[in-house]
Amino acid sequence: MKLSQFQQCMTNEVFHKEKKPELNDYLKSYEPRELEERLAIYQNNTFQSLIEVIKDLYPTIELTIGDDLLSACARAFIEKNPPTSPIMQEYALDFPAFLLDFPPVQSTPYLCDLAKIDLLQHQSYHSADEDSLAAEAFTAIDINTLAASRINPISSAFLLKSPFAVFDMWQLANGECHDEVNANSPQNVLIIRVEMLVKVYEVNNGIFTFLDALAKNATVYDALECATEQASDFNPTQAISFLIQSGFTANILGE
Amino acid sequence: MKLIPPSAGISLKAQHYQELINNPGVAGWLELHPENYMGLGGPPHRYLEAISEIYPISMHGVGMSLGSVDGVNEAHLERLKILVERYQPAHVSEHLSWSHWNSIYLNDLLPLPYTRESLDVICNNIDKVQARLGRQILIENPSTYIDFKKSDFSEGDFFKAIVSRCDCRILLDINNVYVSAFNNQFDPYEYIDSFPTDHISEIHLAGHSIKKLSNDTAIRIDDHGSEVRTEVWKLYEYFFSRQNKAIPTLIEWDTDVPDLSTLSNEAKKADASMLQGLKNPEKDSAA
Repeated sequence: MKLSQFQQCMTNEVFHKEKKPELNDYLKSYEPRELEERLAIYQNNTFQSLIEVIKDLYPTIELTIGDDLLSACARAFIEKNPPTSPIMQEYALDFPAFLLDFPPVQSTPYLCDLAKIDLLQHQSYHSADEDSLAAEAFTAIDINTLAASRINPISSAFLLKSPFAVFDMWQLANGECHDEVNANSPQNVLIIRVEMLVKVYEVNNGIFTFLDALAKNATVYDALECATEQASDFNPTQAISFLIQSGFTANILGE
Repeated sequence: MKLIPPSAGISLKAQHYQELINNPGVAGWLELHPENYMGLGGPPHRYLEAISEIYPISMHGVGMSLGSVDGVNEAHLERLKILVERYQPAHVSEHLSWSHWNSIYLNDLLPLPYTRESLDVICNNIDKVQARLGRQILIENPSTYIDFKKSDFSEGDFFKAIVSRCDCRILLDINNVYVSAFNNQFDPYEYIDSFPTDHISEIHLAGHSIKKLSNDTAIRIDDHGSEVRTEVWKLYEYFFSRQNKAIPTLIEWDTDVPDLSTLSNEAKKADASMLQGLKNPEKDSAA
């Protein structure tokens, strides 16, 4: 008996559910049905534990579509995307994109971006620890120097632009708002962890464009210009205030 | 490094972080899965830093797949090393099982046939892990639901051979002994009698459930989701009746995790049962 052959057969049986009669060469003789049911314990352990990983990672999707449908989506995802690492914190990062193409939920295309909010919260939660720059550091810099500077965002900050009302839907699912939501209204979100707490902010187009430009290494002046051009209601004072208050900045470069 | 006391500890769960910090005497020691702390930062590390200042800790891995023919995952081993160096756990343990083949991780602990080839595979992998970590690790006996046609060793003799070749230690899971014995029809008491107990540095206890197969065969499932069963307590006490010293014992509880007081009460029961076993005359006949 070669151990490699046994592990290959067992993996195919457990993960791919391919009936492998060769396993009979390795295992004690059981009635066929009993063998199937004993092997099913390993299949169940494997799939159920991975389904739980996905349910833990995407709680808003479970709240939105329910346990049964999420479990079905998760099972289909797992079958096509076996884990390649033992670190389950890093599994199923592609699940939001999978939802876009999975027929049972294709009629709700906003699920992908809704799942991304859960995913980005998870990534923000586990991101490297970094202090946000205090408000005093901004007030200590003269305005011209700040305009010419670049901002290094903290590593827990993530921006999401969606053609759907994902922030409202996320709030609704999590019991934080009870109004009716128009799913087809575009929204932008900033997800950020300051100290121990992950926060989810809705940001308007102007602030999103401003923060996005900063994250892509624009100077503060160029980011303000970019946001002014792209968003008619952009308010630079409000944007700078949000930049400071949200804790988005790790440090100011080139001051 | 804080040494683990020879008494009962409990699994570290995120929902108990703050309570453990607020009530430092609530557990004797804590065990965690290192895979849950391999992120770069955030609350898990903040809490673990605070908790490891208060409690002795042990790291119990579930992802190293020591029985895999295709070896241990180097990147995973490196991440474990970083974590071990950072938190200095008193014990680092893994399983006598395998989880990956051809880059697929099954996220479960699969059984190994106890053959000479398996012995070479697992010893090479243990050697690699111990060399990289620069310390001994503990190897835990698995719970199994299938048995093999051919094995060159009993599980106890397989452990003896591993310990002899790798100079590692053993983590004996009494619940796993009971579950495997029931599922594969061997006597758990005879297993204990012939086990190389001198090499055991830690004991595990956990709950399990019972499932009926369609031919009415009962199977015990090691699901870590309930209190330790009476029959496992009995085996645990028997084990200590054969010992001359207390050994750190962990109450494992990974699914449907209860409140901290339930875990703490299970740990107290383990301490009492260990003491009862150590007082039992069986010890004299074993000596």
